[in-house]
This record gives sequence, C-alpha cells and structure tokens, in this order.
Amino acid sequence: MSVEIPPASYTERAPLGWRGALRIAEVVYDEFSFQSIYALKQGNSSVYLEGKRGEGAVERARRRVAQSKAMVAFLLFMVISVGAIGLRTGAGGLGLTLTPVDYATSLVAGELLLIFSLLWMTGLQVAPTLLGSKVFPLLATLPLSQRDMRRVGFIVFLRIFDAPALMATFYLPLAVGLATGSVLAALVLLPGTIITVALSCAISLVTARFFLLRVSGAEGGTPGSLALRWVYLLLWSLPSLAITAFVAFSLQILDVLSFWEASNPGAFRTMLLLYPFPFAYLTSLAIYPSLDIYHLLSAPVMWLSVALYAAAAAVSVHWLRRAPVDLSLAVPRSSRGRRAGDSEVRTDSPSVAILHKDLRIASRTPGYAFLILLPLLDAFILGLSTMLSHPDPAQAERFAIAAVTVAAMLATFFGPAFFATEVMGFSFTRTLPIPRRTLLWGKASLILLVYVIASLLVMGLVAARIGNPIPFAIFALAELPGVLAASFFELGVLFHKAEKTGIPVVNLYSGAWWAMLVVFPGLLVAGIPLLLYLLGQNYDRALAVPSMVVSALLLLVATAAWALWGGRGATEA
Amino acid sequence: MATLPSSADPLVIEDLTVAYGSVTAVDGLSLRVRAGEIYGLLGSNGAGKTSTMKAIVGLVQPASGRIRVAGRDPVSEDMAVKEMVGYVPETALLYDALSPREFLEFVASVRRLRYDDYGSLVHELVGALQVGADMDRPLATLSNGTRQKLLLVAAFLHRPRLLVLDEPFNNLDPRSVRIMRDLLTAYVREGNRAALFSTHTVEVAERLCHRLAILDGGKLQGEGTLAELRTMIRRPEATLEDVYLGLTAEGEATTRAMELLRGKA
Repeated sequence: MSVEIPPASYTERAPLGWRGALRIAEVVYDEFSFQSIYALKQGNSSVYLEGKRGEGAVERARRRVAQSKAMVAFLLFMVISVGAIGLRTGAGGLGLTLTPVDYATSLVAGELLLIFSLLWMTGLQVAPTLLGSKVFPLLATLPLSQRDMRRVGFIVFLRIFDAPALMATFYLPLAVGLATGSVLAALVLLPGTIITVALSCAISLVTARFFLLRVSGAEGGTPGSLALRWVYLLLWSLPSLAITAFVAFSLQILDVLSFWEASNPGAFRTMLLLYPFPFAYLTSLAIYPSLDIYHLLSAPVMWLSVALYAAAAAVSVHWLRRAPVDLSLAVPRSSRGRRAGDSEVRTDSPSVAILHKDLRIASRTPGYAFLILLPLLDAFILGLSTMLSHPDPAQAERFAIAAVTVAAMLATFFGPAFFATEVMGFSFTRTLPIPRRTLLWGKASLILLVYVIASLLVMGLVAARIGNPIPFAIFALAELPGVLAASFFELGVLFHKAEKTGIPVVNLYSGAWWAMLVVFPGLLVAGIPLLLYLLGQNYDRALAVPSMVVSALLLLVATAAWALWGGRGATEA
Repeated sequence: MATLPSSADPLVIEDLTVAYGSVTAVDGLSLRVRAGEIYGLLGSNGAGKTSTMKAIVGLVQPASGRIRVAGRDPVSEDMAVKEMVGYVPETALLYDALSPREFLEFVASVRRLRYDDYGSLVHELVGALQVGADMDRPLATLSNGTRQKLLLVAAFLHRPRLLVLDEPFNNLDPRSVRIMRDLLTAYVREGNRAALFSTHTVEVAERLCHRLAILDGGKLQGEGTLAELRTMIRRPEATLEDVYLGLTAEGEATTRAMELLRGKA
C-alpha cells in the first residue's frame, strides 16, 4: 500500500535562553530522579510500577530525592555547627597551644575540607548515574541547539547539589560570623565556600567520568583486572576516607600543627599554598586583625593561593557548563576488530555464585564498592588512630575493640544496600530458581566477609602494637553471630518486601530514608550482644564474653529461623 | 533438582486473567502448548503477550485462572517451574556491571549445572552468535543485540522443557535470527520440549510457529495453525497478516490512520 504524505513545514527555532532551559531541565531532572530511585534502566520498573503502586511514582521519586538532599544538607549543618562551637570555645578549651590565628585557620580549613569531601562524596554517588542514565542522549534527538542542551545539562547537574551546596556556601560564613562576632570574617569566607563548592562539583564529575571508563566500563575478567578495579575503588573512597580521617585525627592534626608552627614557621607558611588553608587563613586574619611581621610576610603567599584557586574554580565552572552533556554524549569505544576470546564458563555453588557476582558488580560499581570499603577503612583508621594515641596496651586493646564494634555496626548499617544489586537485574533474576535461603546466605556472606576483614585489619594493628591479639580475637568472634543475626533480620525484611513489590534501594542518595527503616532495628540486633558485653565489663568481667556469645547465638537462631525458613521459604525445595 | 512429570503438556493456561490495578492486561486466556511445538503469541503492543509470559515465569501473579508448566503451578511450585523454564524477557535488563562470561557463570551456578552439561553448548552458541569477542566486557558497554544474544544463550543453558521467549529476535541481525530460528526448530523436536514465542512480526510468526494465538486487548481472538486461522476468517488464500488484521481491530485502525496521514480526517 503506498501513501502520499504531505511534507510538514519547519521553521527556524529561536534559542531557548536560560528560562527555557530551566523549564526543560525541570523535566530532565524529574526523569533522572525517577531513574535513580526506581533503577528504571536496571529493570526494577516492571516489578515496582505495575499495579496501584505505579500511581504517583514520579511524585514519590521527586520527594525522595529532595529528602536525601535534605539529609546531606542537615549533616553539613551539624558539622558546621560543631566547628562553630569549637571556634567559640577556642584552642584553650581543647588544651591546645596554637595561637588564636592558627587555631581558627586550622578549624576553618577543616570545615572547608569536610564540605569539599562531603559534596564530592555526594556527587560521586549520583554523577555516574546521571552520566549513564541516557537522559541527555534522548534530549539530543530533539531540535535543541548544543548551547541549549549544555545549559539544560548544567542546570540538572547543579540541582544534584542544590540544598547541600547552598547550606555549605552560606551557613559556614554565617556560623563563623556568629561564633566570632566578625561580619568581615563571614564576608571574607564567602568566596572561599563558593570556590569550595565549585571545585567539589567539578571533581565529582571528573572522577565520575574516570570511574565510568576505568571501573564501570573496564574490560577483563582476570584476577589482575579485578584487583586493579579494586585499587581504583580504594581511590574512589578517598573523600569518605578524608572525612573519617579528619574526624578521627582532628586533635592529633591540631597537635601536629602546633608543633610545626613552633618549630618551623617557614614551612607552616608554605601550607598556605595548599587548599583550603589560604581561605581559612584569610578568615582568621579577618577575625584577628594583626600587623605581626609573620602575618604580613604570609599575606602575599596567601593572596597568590587565593587567586590561583579562584582561577581554578572559574575554569571549573566554565567546564561544568558543558561537561555534563558532553560527557554523557561521548561515544563509547567500539569492539570492532577485537579477537574472539575463549568461551569457558565456570560454576560455583549457588550461594558462592551470589557472593562472587556481588563482588564483581561492586568492582565496577563505585557506589556499591563504597559500602564494602567504608567499614573496612573506618575500622582501620579508628584502630590506627587509637593505637597511635594510646601508648598503654590495655587502653589500646579497649580501643581496638571499639574499632571492631564500629566495623560491626557499619557492616550492619550498610547491609540493606547489599540487597540493592538484586534490584539491578531483578526482573530476570526472579525467573531463576534461586530459593530465598540461598539468596540470603549469599548476601549475609558478604556482610560477614566485610566484618571479618575489618576485624582482621584491626587484629593486625593489635598484634603489632600489643603483641597478644587473643582477647581481641575472642571478642571479634563472639560478635560474629550478632552481625550475622542482624544481616538475616535486615535482608529477611527486604526479601519479604521484594517478593511483593521490588525494592527501590539504589544508592545512599536515593534510597536512604527507606533503608533507615530497616537499618535501625538491625543495628539493635547487632548491638544487643555488645551492650551485654559492656554491662558485663561493669558488673562481672567473667560474664562479659559468655553473655555476649549466648545472646548473639540466640538472636542468630531466631532471625535465621524467621528469615531462612519462615513464610514462603518453607515451601521452596 | 525437581522431578519433572514428562507426560504433561509443557504449558496449559486456563482462563488466565492478569490485572494491574484497574487495567486488565490479560482477560480469560486459555491455551495449550504441546510437546514438540513452537507456539506463537501474535498481537500488537499492549495485547497481553508479555503479561501472559510474565505470569508463566512468576514475575506477576495472576488475578485468576490457572497455569501449569509440565503439570506444575508457577505460584505454589515456583522453584520447580523455574528449573524447567528458559526465559528471554522483552527488554534485555541485566546486571550491567557483569561481563557476559560472569553473567553466564552466575546463571549456570544458580542452576547448579555441571560444565559437562553446558560447556560445549555455550561454546557453540557463543561462536555461532559471534559474542566471543565481548565475553569480558561489561554488559553496560554492549549493544542491545549482543545483550539479546546473551539472554538467548542463558535461556538454553539448562536445556529447559519450556522456552518462554518474549520478542526474542528484537535487535538481532538477520544472520543471528536465522541461526536462532534453526536452533529453536531443532530444539523442540526432542525431549518433550516446547517454546512459547511472542512477536508482533507476522513474517517471523508465519515461518517459525506451528500454531498461533492472536491476542487483542488481552483477549484471545483466534487460535490454531495458519490453515485453521484462515478458515476462521473464511479466506483460504489469506496471508497471516490478513488473518491478523481480520481477527483484530487493527485492520480498521490502520485504514483510519492512513486516512489521517492523507489529511482526509
């Protein structure tokens, strides 16, 4: 059948302008939020959106993204407020010998570094999703100019950071101004926070792109390529490491700075070249105006640094105006000309296969790898800081136990997120014969693995520092059933929900509120044995470990019976 | 692994209804797929093909009706049914971070297969479909066609009793379509096997399927061999396309669309 269709008439369109770009960005941002929350491209939509739950899904996605950003903004509010209180208390209140200028410099620099790290971490959680979400390639098929497209991309990218970035930009200067009573300090610090936000946004996108190419898109199934991806992922965890390290070592850092300033003022001054010290130094000089020769000599170095970082921020903003779209549209490498490899496919037992699959997925998914690495790194840093700062072996052992407790809590805290990988291919996985107990064992093994490696790391530190890690090893072993019980509880709840509707837990940014509802009872399960241990320590030390073991085992039996054999699981062969 | 009754028909559906809230996707569908048969579900988008298949593999719960896969109920005996079924979804939604090799290792492992059972099959299929060069690249970086080929390999891995293939040739190149068509035809000839095959491409259905069901608006409009369907519309020389348009409301809709495009509306 032949049909003659009259041609349509086309007219030249005027550029969108910022107002038009804002309107389109609104739609694109909704789509990006929706994909983040429901993991649409990973296949959860068909499970989750069918039926009544599909109604209002976009509105729910919008709300959850807003809630997650509010959480990050609140965290920044708390961090900045604590810093401001420290500024008001002064170095003397902490027993430090730093001069007021250097104390204020250190504290404000620490705050800026924390803001930088937190925004970088937030960006890293989300920017890879934005670059891989295909929202911009879809937009590129519409009659929009490159300039308009870039405007839309820039606006959407900024919206990822809006509430946290606004909190960081304006609340830090305000808090410093209020704590010190210096309006000048607040005004001087404002450019510093703007530059900090610009640099952290840019580095988020740079690193997101790097990890999309070198980690998410990396080829190779050999142990070597897998190890290399994990090394990259360790680098990826640096922002969170910086936050933990700064919090854990803050007093030691201030101590070192005091010593440094006293022994080598020249070297101390060179630090002003490094971000974020010039902005902090400028602020502290605004708080404590001085004509001291030392400060006068430092001023040119400080201004030079400020100018350099301001220029870097300007370049960053210029780059960010086009990068979100350009990077999303970058053509992937072609596989043409590649030789056919071997087709050997090996098998494991089902539970090991689930664990193996999760570790492989994590090795190409920074957000997921972060959940595995964070408890390990945190336990290691806390262990190291306490070992170094407590020369008494008995005290050091106590702190090692605290470090492992933190690892147990963090492993439990992130447990629900380990379920997120199942969401990625959920519509396909649900057609495979995977009984609930196999899946739960696979996931619980991952949580247990994180806890065991964290314990071994701290045990290594204990052995190096004290020489007798046995009491510590007994403690770590006694808590192990508690961690397993908590994972069974959390994963059991998630699995029950997944059987009905699918789970929209995708990453920390998008699924944080929902995960919390499962996490807190889970933390309680893992915490009961630890609580009994502490009570035992206070009342009868001989009972501390036995009461911990008995309670952990009882909890394990109860949660395993419910999670592995309860409900539909009982009918599964 | 579950013991499978070999005598029962690979698939029996009786009065199946699938609903999403107030929307009824499948409305009282009944059909029977016999051993040795490739049974085609033909219908436009939204006709109810995918929902029927999802109900068979346990991705959605039927509102009413009965499904039996080789005599087993996908709701109460889901593990046994999953052991027997190989499924290719309409959209290749997979673990994007895994490579094809890692994905196949995962599927083979959870199905508890031994290398002797699937090794040579994987080797042959990967070679024939030309996926070998991409075995260690993340799925996220592969084309839709390659992902679709991988899903087809995974569906055959455990030599299932019933293949449930939802638009399986989407995105495939003509060479791969030919290979898969020949493979499918040969596969169902042995071992009491069968395939349920959905498509909206009339030519594919005509060449491949032994019997066909034509769905429209979630309801069965006609069922049988091509000859039986021609009899239904009383046109012995009709092509499958004519039969399809004759049994569904789409013939009328097509005429209307043509008029709109000509500017007659």
